[in-house]
Amino acid sequence: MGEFNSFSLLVTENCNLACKYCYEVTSVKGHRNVVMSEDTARAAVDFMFKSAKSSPKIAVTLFGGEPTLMPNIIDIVCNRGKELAIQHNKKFKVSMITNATIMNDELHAVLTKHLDIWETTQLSIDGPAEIQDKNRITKDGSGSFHLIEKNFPIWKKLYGDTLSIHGVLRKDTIPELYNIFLYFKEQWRENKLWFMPETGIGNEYSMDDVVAYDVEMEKIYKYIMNEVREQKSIDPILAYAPLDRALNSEPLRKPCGAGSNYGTITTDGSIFPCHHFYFTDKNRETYLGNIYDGVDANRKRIWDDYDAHDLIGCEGCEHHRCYRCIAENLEVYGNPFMQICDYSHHCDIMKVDFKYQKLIKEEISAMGLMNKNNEEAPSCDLVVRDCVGKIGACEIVTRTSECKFDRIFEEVEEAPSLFKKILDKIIGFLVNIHNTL
Amino acid sequence: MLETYVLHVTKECNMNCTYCYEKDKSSKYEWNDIKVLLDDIIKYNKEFNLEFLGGEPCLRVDLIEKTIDYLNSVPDVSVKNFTITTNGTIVTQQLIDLLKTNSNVRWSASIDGNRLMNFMRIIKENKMNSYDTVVKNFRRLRDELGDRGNKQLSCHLVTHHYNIGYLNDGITDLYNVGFRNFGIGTIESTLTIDDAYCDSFIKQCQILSDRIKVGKLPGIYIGIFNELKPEDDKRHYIRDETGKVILETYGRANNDIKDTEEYKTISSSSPISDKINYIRKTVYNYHNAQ
Repeated sequence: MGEFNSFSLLVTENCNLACKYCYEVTSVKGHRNVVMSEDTARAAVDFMFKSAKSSPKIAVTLFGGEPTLMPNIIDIVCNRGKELAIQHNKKFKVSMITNATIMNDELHAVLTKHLDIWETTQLSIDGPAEIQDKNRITKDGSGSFHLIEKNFPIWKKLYGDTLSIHGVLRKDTIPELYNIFLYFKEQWRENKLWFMPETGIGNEYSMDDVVAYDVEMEKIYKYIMNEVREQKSIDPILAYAPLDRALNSEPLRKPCGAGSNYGTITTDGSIFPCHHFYFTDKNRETYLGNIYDGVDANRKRIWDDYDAHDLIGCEGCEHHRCYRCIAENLEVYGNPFMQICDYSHHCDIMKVDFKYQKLIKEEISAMGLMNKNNEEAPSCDLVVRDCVGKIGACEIVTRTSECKFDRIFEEVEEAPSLFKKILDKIIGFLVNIHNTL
Repeated sequence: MLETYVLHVTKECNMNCTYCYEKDKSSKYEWNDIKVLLDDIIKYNKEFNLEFLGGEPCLRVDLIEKTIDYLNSVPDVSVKNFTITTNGTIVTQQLIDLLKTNSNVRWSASIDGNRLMNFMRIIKENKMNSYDTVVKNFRRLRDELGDRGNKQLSCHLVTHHYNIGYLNDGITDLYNVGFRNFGIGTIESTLTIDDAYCDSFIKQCQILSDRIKVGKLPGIYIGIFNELKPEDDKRHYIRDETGKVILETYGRANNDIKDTEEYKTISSSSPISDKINYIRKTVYNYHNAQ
């Protein structure tokens, strides 16, 4: 059985917001009023260490519902993680996905206390007030942007460059994409952005929406390539997630680690392949086990064993390995491996991303900026940037930031020797760059 | 044991299952082709079962009906059971009438368990998992057939290493839908069967057996728990002059159509027969142990 080493932890299913498009709301008819108990939180972390026997690092993403409603649970998870990390000689790293609307003394104290194990924080924001407040509303129906605006300096001070902003685009906000991008890039000075057209059942797009998305993505692409030319660096490409995939070495073996190395632990300690499965699988067919009795290897096997060859895509499409979300595939077709190809132009929207990734790749190669190591990077199992914004090792060859270095270094410890040789080469290269800077 | 002939009424199918083993997906047959075959069968054998297979046999309910009517009309021939092995997605009024008129005709739908387990069964037209359609059709037939539904309607699950770990969930789900007669099979040629699959198969069946023994799932009938197919009962494939398989037969050792000069016959020997025989025997013995 493949081992879990990466988790999302649903510390609560409650949320202080009631976003109109939230799949948690539409799938379970409103956020359920269930929270993780202190005992479950401890047992969940114990389970993580029991599962990740051979992994040097355990990564947990605090998720919900809205995790900042539960500072006491965050504290317990972090404390228990730190304690076991020492016992087991492993790293325990925490990330969080939050709507960024909540900040108070208790939360601030807990977050500050655990900065030493913090990895990334993703703020879910759709855009400036007029965009955000269309859909991301509080339970009384009022907008939420003013709350985030007030808290943002505190988030920034806490987490600096490890913050990212990930929002949702809908039919009516697609034409605003470039403005949204500019707002966060220039006014908030944020450099990890991603606004994704919402997919899944019920999100119907027309060809006009696809064209509108293309128009907006072209503007972002031009903006970014201008910066690339000015700075003679590929770093600006990393500011916008779908475009940063231009730097990937491909193909990846799997679209994501859901159910394989990645699992979701729910408030009651149930384990599912990921939170998306949990919230959309109303009959709990994808249930894998629980933190007390463990995971059933025979149920987990489907997620361990499948790979790109199992995915059924559009025949003849050069993007047949475009890796849509397997939980969405299951929701739409009843088949996790039947990629959403012709459902309401979702595929056409994705092709826009591919188009600009391809252009970027060609241009930076022509400019001599596509570094050699990047081209030669071994295909690896880690996802470049998965659906919760986590960054994997394939991307690392272009950057020297600490967290990415950290991640690849750990892979070296685990990797077979040929892989290690290549990675050593890459690390040597990175050190060279670092020294020349 | 009564011999069962398997008749292919068409090789066309409205589905495109990931694990489909069929290479011939286009041959079509007409009544004359089938009648020749039936006449040759009854030349040697007067009492047998007949299974309709495809492709998808319900694309040609007309041929199924003609076959049944014809065999019923031959005075000294007795067909105990007719089984329509179908993907369960096509139910027409003609089929309903056929099932209502002939109580010895069974509808056996292929559905691999719950929706997740059934993910490899894909309807061509819309790429959808066939689960929802089969369940809807089953409910319609059960309503039409009333009490007779318990006898005439059944389902067959194909298991493989991706779905075997969910077998109990799947049987329970289909039991709750209303199915009572279950066949549990193993994918033989298009996916790998390994020891982990076998262990999981046995474990899941033992849990199921335990549940049945303590009175859960009343009225359920699971084929492999109640009958152990003899290991030497190999399936024979009978080919026409062009080499296409037109008929299969199992359940009797010799002295019938398959032993004649006119038809070329090959007997099956699956590379994993030993494994399948082993797991079936283990499960059968477990369920029937005192």
